[in-house]
Amino acid sequence: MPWRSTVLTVAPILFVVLAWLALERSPAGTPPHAERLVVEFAVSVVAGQLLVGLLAPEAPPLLAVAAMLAAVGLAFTMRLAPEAAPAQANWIAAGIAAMVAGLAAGRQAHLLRRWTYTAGVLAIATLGATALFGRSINGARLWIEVAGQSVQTTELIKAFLVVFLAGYLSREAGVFAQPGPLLARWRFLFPLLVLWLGTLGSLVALRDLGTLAILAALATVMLSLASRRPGFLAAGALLVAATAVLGYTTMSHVRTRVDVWLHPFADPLGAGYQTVQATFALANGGVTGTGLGWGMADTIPAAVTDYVFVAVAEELGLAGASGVILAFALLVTGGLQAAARRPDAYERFLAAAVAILMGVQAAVIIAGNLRLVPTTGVTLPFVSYGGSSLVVNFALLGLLLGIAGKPRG
Amino acid sequence: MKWDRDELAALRLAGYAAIAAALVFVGALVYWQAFRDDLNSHPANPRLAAALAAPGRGRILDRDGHVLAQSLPDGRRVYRTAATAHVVGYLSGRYGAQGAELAFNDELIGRRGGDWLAALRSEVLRGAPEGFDVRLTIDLDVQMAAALALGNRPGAAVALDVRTGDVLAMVSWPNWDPNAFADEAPALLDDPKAPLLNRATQGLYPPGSTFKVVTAAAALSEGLVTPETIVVCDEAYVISGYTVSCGNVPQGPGTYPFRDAFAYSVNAVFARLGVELGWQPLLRTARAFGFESPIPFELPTASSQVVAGHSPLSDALLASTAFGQGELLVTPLQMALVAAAVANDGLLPQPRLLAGVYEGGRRTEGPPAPRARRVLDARVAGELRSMMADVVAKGQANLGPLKMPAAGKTGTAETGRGTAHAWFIGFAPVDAPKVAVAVIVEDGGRGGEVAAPVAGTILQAALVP
Repeated sequence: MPWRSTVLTVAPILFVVLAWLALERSPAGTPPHAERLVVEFAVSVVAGQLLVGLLAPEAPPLLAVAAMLAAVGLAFTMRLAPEAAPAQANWIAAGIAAMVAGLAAGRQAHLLRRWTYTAGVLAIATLGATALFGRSINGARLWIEVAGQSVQTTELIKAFLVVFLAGYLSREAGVFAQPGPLLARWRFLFPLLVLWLGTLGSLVALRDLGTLAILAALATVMLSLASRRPGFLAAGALLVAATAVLGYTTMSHVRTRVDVWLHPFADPLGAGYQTVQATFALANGGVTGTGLGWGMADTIPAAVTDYVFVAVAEELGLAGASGVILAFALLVTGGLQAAARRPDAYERFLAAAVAILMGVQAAVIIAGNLRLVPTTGVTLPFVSYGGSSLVVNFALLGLLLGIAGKPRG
Repeated sequence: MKWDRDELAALRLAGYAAIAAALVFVGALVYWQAFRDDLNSHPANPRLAAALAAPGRGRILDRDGHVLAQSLPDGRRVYRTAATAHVVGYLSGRYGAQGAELAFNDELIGRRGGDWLAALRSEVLRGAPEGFDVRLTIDLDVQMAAALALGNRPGAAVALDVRTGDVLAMVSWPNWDPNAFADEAPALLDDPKAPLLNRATQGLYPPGSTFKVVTAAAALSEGLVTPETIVVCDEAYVISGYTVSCGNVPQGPGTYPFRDAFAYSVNAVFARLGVELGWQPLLRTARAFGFESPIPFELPTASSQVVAGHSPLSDALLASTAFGQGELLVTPLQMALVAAAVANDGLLPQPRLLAGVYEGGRRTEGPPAPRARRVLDARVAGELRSMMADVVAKGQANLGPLKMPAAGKTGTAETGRGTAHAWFIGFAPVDAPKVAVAVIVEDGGRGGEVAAPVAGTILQAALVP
């Protein structure tokens, strides 16, 4: 391997090793057999890098960025939920396997294109199935049991939607881009409308407004990208605002979330507890943080899934949290750049959709953590604890790398 | 389909949007992590309780290094005496926090107050942070004398260095046993006598005649009177149907210089003086002394009030305000500052509690620079000093064991429940004042007989080694 790839491969591994050593010396301590987790992570990352180097040598080094985020995630799972750390290491390994599968699919993107409408139907079917048979873990989130494993179906739906949007929009982009009133071309809008209403209805039924916001933002951005009509962005923003108002007025748990967001200290031990504790953790971090294991982010309920960014901000400080933000910025801009290089419209849309989805998802959760918007219980891609999120995001990253790594022409 | 320039532009725009969002997030991080230090001392922050239980927490010392609070190796916090309960305070995950434990928590846990060497060491080595020792301006001898003199009477006492603003003593009673705080806290919180309230900084009382110092300061500053101006008080002063008495003067109603009206605290003279003076000069002077806004201090302070915000500014109210009743509500710290400004040639010192931060025996941070604001002409302050010296010289205040000439003003403030709060504010020595005091004994009766001896004891302890 050339030296640049070596550095990029070693950096996340080094981070996990340092995190392990730091935790050993902190009051938080490490889970039993932490060294196994470190080795497992190292093997996964090296294997992933080798396979990407082999299958997509032209691809930008986005796996290194994702691996760095996964390293942060593994470190903070060891820190905040040590009993779950072995599972997280396994999920990272599974995620990298999924990435290789996604990479293969990305190389054969023209075959994937045939599945456009199947993906659309699957998205709605999965939603419907979750609404009917899903089981609630941690309140609003819904999961489905598949072969003894709880699967967070909203993560799957995101992937299906990416495939559908890319195929559909690349086919119909010309129609949208033509000047003139859109209503005359309602036939082309129709499938989109059906999909949108189905998604909206089901998600309202699932009460998962965070995912709804992410999917709405993804669809809107993709649509305006395809049509080159900024009007879609405005319409999308209007739609999201209208949904928010509707949610606020009709759903009590949405109202609670907004009220807690605006006035967390009104009920610091009750409804506002999570937000208040997160705010304290942020302030405690300072510029360089308390050091891994020396903070008190474990007082935040669901820290390892919903508030892992705040935990990073407390223990690694402004410096560490800015690093996480920078990593996502690199992931998104790198993905968009790779997309822009593809001559094929479908590949371009698919790659862009993956990059935008990751960016939007990270933005929604980080903004919520920083109290710029109300909190939504969505995961921070590659960092938060959770198998479904890790596997799906790595698979999507693989798709992006497969497309980007294809020889041109 | 071929490449489309517009689409590339749109993709680039999306990239810029991502970078813009990242910058907004970093901005929000900077806001929370660099500018919201206040949250670290929020009473609901569990890090506070953890900070108290850390064995490395620094000690709290008096100005001479006597240990007032320290942590045992098992993390238990032990306190020297109940006499410093309110000043030293407490820190509890469940019952909140107050006093120096809260105000200087950042220094005590080693987050602030170290020099660059200590900062570098903790940055590189991390590990359990070693806290710094915090030295207060409190003088344990003066504090104990004040607590003993006040005894088991609800009230408060404050002693200040008139030049530096150092708080030499600050007691409030009822207090509590700091070493049993965790067990007693529920009862203390429910106690109607409000033992957790630091009466010295946050207790609000009618000041009674001690406020005549402020009225006299305004009248002297405006040139309305001099100490030698002859005033006439034959029977009583009637204003808007209210009658204010000419009583108190030993030789009976009649004609005498203004300084005698001050010494014998003749309400009618001050009522009329107030009405002649008008609201604005009186309010201006009171605000200059610090009324109507929280006093800048390391511990939280209540604002002293001249009139309630919604009250119409009538002449009758002005008259009663001028002699210290009306709607006046003051903190003992505020009244100590009034005395200190008069003692300090008209310069109002800003009170301070921090004497320094120490690592081991080495001072890493000094006290805040002394600050003072001119509120009176040196001439007016001099006239007030001589008038306040008359109060003591004419036997209106019994300063108990004090063995030097002192000056002051007594107050017997009607509470509206048929009792009176006993007040004394003053300073010593008369010629070169060093220490100012304010004492209130709730429902104690006559200020000159009840509060003044406490003040005398405190001044004696502060000035005679």
